[in-house]
Amino acid sequence: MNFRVASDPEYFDKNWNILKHAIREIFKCNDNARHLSFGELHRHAYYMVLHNFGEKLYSKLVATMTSHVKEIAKSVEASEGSSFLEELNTKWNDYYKALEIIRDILMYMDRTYIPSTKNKPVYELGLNLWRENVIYSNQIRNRLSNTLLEFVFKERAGEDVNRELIRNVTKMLIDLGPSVYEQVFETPFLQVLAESYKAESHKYIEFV
Amino acid sequence: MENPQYPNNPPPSPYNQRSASIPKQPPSHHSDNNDPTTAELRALDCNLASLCEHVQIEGFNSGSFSDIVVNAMGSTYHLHRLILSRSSYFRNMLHGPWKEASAAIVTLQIDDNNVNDEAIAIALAYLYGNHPKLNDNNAFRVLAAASFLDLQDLCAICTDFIISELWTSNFLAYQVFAENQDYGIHGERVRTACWGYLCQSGGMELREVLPKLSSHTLHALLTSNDLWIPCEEKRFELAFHTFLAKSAHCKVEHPAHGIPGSESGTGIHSDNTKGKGIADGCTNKMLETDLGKMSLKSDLKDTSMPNLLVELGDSEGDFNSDICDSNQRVQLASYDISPNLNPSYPSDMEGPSLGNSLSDPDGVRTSCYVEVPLGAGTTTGVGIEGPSEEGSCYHSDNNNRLVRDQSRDSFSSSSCSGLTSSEWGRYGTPLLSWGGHVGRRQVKAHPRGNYRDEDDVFINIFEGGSLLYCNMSFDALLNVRKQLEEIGFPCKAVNDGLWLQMLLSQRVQEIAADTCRVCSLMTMSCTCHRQFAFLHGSTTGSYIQEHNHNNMPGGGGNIYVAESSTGERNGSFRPVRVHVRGAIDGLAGIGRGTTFVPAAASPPTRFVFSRVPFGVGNRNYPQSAANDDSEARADHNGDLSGDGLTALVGLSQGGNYGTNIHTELTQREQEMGLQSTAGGASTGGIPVQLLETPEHTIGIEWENDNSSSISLDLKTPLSHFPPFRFGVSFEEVHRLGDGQVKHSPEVFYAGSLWKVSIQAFNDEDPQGRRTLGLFLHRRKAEITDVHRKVHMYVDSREKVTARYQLTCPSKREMLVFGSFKQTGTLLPKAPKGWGWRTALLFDELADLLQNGALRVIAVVQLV
Repeated sequence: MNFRVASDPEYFDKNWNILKHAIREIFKCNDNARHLSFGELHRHAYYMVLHNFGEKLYSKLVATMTSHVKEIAKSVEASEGSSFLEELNTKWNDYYKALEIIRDILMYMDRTYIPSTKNKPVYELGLNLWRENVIYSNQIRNRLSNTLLEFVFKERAGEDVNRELIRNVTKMLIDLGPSVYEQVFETPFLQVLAESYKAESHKYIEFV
Repeated sequence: MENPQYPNNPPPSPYNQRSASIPKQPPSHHSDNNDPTTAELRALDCNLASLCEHVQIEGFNSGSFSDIVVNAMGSTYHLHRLILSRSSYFRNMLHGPWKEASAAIVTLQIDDNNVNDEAIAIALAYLYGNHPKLNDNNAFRVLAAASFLDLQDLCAICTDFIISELWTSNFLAYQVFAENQDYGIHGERVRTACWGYLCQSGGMELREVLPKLSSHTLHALLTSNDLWIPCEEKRFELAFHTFLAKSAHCKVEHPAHGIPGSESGTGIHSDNTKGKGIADGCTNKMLETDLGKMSLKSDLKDTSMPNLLVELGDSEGDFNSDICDSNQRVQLASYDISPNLNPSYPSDMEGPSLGNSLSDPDGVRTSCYVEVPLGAGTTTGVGIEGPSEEGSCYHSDNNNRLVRDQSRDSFSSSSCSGLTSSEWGRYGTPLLSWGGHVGRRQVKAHPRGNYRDEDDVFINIFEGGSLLYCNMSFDALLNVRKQLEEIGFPCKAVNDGLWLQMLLSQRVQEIAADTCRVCSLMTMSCTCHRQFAFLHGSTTGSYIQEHNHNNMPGGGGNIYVAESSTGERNGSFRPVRVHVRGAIDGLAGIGRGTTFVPAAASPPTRFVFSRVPFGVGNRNYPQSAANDDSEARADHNGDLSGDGLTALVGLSQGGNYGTNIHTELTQREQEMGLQSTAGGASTGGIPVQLLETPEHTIGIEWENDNSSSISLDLKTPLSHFPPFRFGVSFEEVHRLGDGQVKHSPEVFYAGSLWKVSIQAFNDEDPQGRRTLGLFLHRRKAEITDVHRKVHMYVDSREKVTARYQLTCPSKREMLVFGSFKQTGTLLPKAPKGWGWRTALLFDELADLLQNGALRVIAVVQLV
């Protein structure tokens, strides 16, 4: 079919820098959006997509978000012992809110550019990045499922644990896709559970 | 423990009770009085209506109780957050964590020239329930505004309007609108509609608009199998016309680049503007008249073309890989401009030169295209053939090339005398030149790159193998060649076209001679001795319509004949109810029965594709029923003969000809959606090299997207040749009575005459709607025919295997019947046709016609 014609490239960098700055601010702290104008940010994103820079915008967005998610992954990895889950949860909440805000700014891209390509919409993109870079990070994945199991068993043993935290983290796993929940939590949980019941039942049998 | 009880004695839940009681209540109401419900509804409607009115009048018009002020495009609106939040743009803005969230005033800045004050007002009013009043001038503006505010429904309304009101007069505006900005799916819909409209009318009504289109679109269009154009010659004319007009157009638009260097004089620029229109008209005229009258065109051309030429030569570098050679070409393809640029040029341009011929004293300024002689020593690099990477093959042609180069040398060195004829016959017309050096300087004088894109595109069109020169008649080829040379194209594709043409003729006649006349199989795989072995059962899907030509005016001679599946050769004529939705639903029927899909398994298709052997008159073939029998075998034969052909490739060790032609097809940009249909249309660059290695045998299928080369020798299968395209147009199809048929004129391709017919039906559609069927017909060419031309030859087979596709482009949709991907169908013996019934619905015709005519493009390829 016919083609779209791209128009001047200079505007792009200017516009993108404004957007990038805003995205960084939002990632830094969700509250920063309070000082930003939706109309202006949307206007820049709209302009870029309207003038056929959708692809460029998208790739820049992916790069910016990826680098941010990687930073988060590092800070989560670095967190000590028990604060690990809390750190992950806090970061996730912030990230999720920021993601929604960014999605709103880029609504025109989601609406016009994305459907004509195989790219994922901003929201989905954000979840994917989080999953690949944070949850599936080598130093996080196993640690996460172990910590969760640990919590669960602590609770069964009667210890006082932060149930809210566990609920939030498992909810995050579900948000990231059923397979993530399965892989990171459900399957290992059921395995460990089966083993523990087995051990327990053996104990009973021996008693009898 | 508890579960087993449940089914036996379901505990009565509150939910169950409630749901059970609900149905009981209304009857009691109803029994009392029917009116309350209606009255309630009426009251509800009334309430809603008054709400709407209130919102519109009080809310939007007077801005009462406004809680937000919106500034946009210089206007101020007193609006309401609640209403604005219908738009997700406003919702995000006013609900998010933003600065605007609590603002009393919001200013919209919309960086889109298509949006204006009125459009914003309409879009905002739409939020308040006002239906937009659209017209030609505001529809796209409202679409842009709605797109900004993310009002998808309004976008759809605007798009519908635009598509229904898309005409020749506003086509360009909408095309530019949709092409330059991204409005998502709505823009895509407009683009698609424009494309359909362009394919339908690009060769006719929109002809003058083409030069204003973007290069990409032009390339897509001019190389597309979906472009309606009567024949390949016309397609060339159209492309050429567009090329000239576009370059003139560019000149006007970029005058700064248009003024050539030092020698060009000063008056040129204004002349260009003036000359443009004339150039257009003149080109038209020239294209349609004789070869010899090139004078005026060349006059005008040199004002508009020099840059282009340089660029053309230059872009060869991308086109072919061998940069060294292409550089040589750049030098060669220089253009002599200076002598024509004297100040007196503009003043008398219109007078003497319009009717100009070579005898005109002023007309001496004919084609000034000069090939700079590089001397015999450099012949290798100089050849007009596209440079190739296979050096050895390249050299093999040295002799040949030398001759050419010499002729060229003498031609350009003979300067003013100019009259040089060569064995190629291409310098038959006096070509005057004023020395190549000026031209060279021109090369340097112009910064490259200004028109690069554009020229690439046209190089690609003319030389990239997308114009199927092989399907042109010889005199047309001469004409084409001349014109291309005039503007400095290498004409390689034209040469290749000639080769292809000759080879195709050779192959067709050879195959025809080798085909069994009874069963249409190659002699070696002929199964005539057991010819009805697999006849039974294969007939289910085909219907024969016998149509006696003599009865036609009455329109009543419409008899459907069912195939006798018992194999009796004289199947009796009996009318059958055609169960279109049965075994032949979907595409299943085409060419083979194996892809049969049960009707229930797939949703009913709007267009039923039924293979219908279609008889038009039985004058020549009284044994129609017998023919029908062989139709039954068509499926098998179609496949078998396809195989047979391939086998033949291996077997026929044709004469050991000194040279095989190896044609390289460089894959060029594939257009969206064209891939499936284009085949030849999208394959590019054809540098022919003369090979010394005859063992270069089987090439790759023409339509194979990954093909890098096809081999042309006496073993080349027919399917490797480019397809044949022709466009036909049926006037007043909406007046066709039931059963009435219209036939297109016949055209010649590969030893056969082809035509398309269209017939009206009233009994094909299950819902009783009237439909149109499209049919392709083929008969063997007859030398005595009125169409007779020098190049005509006869494919003596009664039936041939071909694949084909019929397309009706329109702004509404691109209707495509058949597929070029199939292996091929054994076409029935003339005068039957092969095609689709229930192809189009009469109801849809209004959107499909252009100037009252239905335009159909047929693409055919023998396999």
